[in-house]
Amino acid sequence: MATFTWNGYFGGSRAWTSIASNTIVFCGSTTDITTPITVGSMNGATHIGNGDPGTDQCATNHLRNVAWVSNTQFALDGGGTETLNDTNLIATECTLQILFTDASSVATSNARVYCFNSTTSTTFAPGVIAYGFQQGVSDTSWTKINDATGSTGGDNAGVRLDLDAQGAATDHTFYVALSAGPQSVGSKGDFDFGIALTYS
Amino acid sequence: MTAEKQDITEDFYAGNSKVIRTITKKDDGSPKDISGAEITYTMVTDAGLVVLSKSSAVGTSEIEIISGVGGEFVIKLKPSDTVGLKSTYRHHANVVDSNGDEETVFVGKVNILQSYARRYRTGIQHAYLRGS
Repeated sequence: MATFTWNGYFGGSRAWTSIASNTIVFCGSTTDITTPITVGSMNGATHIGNGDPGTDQCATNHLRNVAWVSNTQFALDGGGTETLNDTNLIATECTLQILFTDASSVATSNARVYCFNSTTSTTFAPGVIAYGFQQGVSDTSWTKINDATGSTGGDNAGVRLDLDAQGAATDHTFYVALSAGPQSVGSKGDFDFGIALTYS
Repeated sequence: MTAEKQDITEDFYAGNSKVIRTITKKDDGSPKDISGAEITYTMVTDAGLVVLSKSSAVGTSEIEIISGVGGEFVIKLKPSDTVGLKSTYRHHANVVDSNGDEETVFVGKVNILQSYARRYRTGIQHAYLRGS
């Protein structure tokens, strides 16, 4: 049975750890998970919460915070602006490590990460702008994966983060950075990330 | 003895499991004893680019001798071996017997048809933020 595991690089001693059924919380503070983000700004911190947002589940080291600065730039954990590439943003600095595992050796194709409204995979998340980046494939720019103002997002070609195909293996690892911000005041709970792929 | 024109031109779709069963024979038509032999199987393009290789040295998961004295072995292709292939290729099998003598036991063409059927999986992770 093929399974996905969404991991973050966080914890008492940083290690790739399953987020399980918790929530990826983008907020404005490295210490307070309830701190909102000013409209027009991007994530100042990223946490694991047990609700919307619930309480912080990260322990000492929080989830990596990779913030969109421009289409080719990012800021890591509140640091300075850096050019987006695999050298400046290494795997353990990504927001997520998504594992796809199958008992048999399989090849993956048409893999993509997308942002949607929690109910319909092809519908954008309301009130949110979000960007994605795949580390380790020599990419150098963000992909805008949700823009409620422009009514774009969801699992639709051209507005999702396409992931490189991978050859035969039982374990497939995708390192992904995600950045998000509000386009309006208020809670954005109709907000999920999805991954889909085909394999054989 | 090399069996020529061992072609597979139908019913071979990319990404399918496939077992190729072979009986190796001597010039007189009797089975060649392949007990203890090392067997390799290769699929190549006309330009000589190897696209697939299997070896009994790797284990019975790739090539298994069913009957040494009967000259019978099977080549086991997994879905992942051919998932990216879509063309006509040449295939060869070589046997190095227990005396160290090597022989190409069959050659031919394989036409792999593209398969569009793929298993599909999706996963979801909830997110949240609040604007002020």
